[in-house]
Amino acid sequence: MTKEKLKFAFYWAASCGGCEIAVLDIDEKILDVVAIADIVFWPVAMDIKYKDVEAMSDKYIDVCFFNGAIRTEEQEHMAKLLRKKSKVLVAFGSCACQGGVPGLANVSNRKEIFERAYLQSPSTNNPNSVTPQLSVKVPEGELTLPEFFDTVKTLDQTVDIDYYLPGCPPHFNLVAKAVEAIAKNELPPKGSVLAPEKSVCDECPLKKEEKKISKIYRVYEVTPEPEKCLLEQGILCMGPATRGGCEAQCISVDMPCTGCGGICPNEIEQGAAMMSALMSILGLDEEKDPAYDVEKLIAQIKDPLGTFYRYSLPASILRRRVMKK
Amino acid sequence: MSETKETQKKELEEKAVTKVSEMGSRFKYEISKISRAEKIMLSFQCGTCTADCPIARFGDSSRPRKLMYMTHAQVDATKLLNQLGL
Repeated sequence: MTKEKLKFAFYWAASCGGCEIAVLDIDEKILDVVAIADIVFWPVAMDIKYKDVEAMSDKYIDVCFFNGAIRTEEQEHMAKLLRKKSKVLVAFGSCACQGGVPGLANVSNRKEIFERAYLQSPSTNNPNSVTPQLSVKVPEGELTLPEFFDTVKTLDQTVDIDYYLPGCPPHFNLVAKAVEAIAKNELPPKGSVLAPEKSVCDECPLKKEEKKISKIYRVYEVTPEPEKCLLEQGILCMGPATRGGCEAQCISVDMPCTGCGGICPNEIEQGAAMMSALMSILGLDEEKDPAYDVEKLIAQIKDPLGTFYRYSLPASILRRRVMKK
Repeated sequence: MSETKETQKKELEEKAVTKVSEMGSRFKYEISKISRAEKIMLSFQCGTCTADCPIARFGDSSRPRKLMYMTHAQVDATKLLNQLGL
């Protein structure tokens, strides 16, 4: 008699859907997944309702891969429900681990987001100023929507989780390794990040020389020299402050790291770590100049929040803009 | 005099025609130097080009978004030409 199969679940909350595709990116290894596991819940691919999950006994699911941040009541409910029903809960992808791109909404709040999305955006025609309501009475009965929160939260700020699998989306090697570890029952201690203990710079094939820059360029403005560190050429690359495991794929095609791998081991804050790394090489020559103007140097960084905290705002110390009561 | 002009013209033509296949994988930078092609650097693959392309509707070989993606992913120029059936 064959061994009983494991039970996997996949769920998406506030995310783009790329993580769901990343699951399929492991190519033929998906057959190994199917060989060892049954997928019991996967809204993007299978028609299993929430009530079916609620009907499962506690700890029925062996491993639940949860991608996406938590920004609505429904997502919070599902995170809590899946925590109850799963033995192992994995935060899959940058959004679940650290808030991700949806987490940048923490510089705003519900009112501002609704105004922008439903009233002010140039492509919107909404003469009656209709915005989403929690419940609306129509002749057929009452319609309800889940509540939209002011603050985007990461998964571990919502429920207790077992593992982190960072990346936007997670690199297929990391996904394959995680599945392998699950199959062999060789998972590391609870709370581990299922990625190597090194930064993107450690994996990067480009050569680093003298670290000194005076001008910052955006990607389209320059032709980077091959085989030379992008940061040293003035392109803002988050490599020094980002956890590796991705084999520096973006950098090998001249695109700077944007920091999706999340916080390096032993760091508290990804954005702060990167700022400190950048400030230690930016403008060293200019400092000797009597007309040295630090503001001018820093003004070269367009969109600092989107650069340093693109994937990690909700998990950072900043977390969100202060809300006025 | 006219002979040199003609050789020059021929050289220029050859340059324009044969270059792409010899450009290797970093050809986007070469292309961006051509007048009016510098905007190749600005593409972030939103897909509007493919949505609007009258040719993409009838086949998979020349979808502009895919070509732009291949350009930015720095595949070899010959692969890109193969994709186009050239």
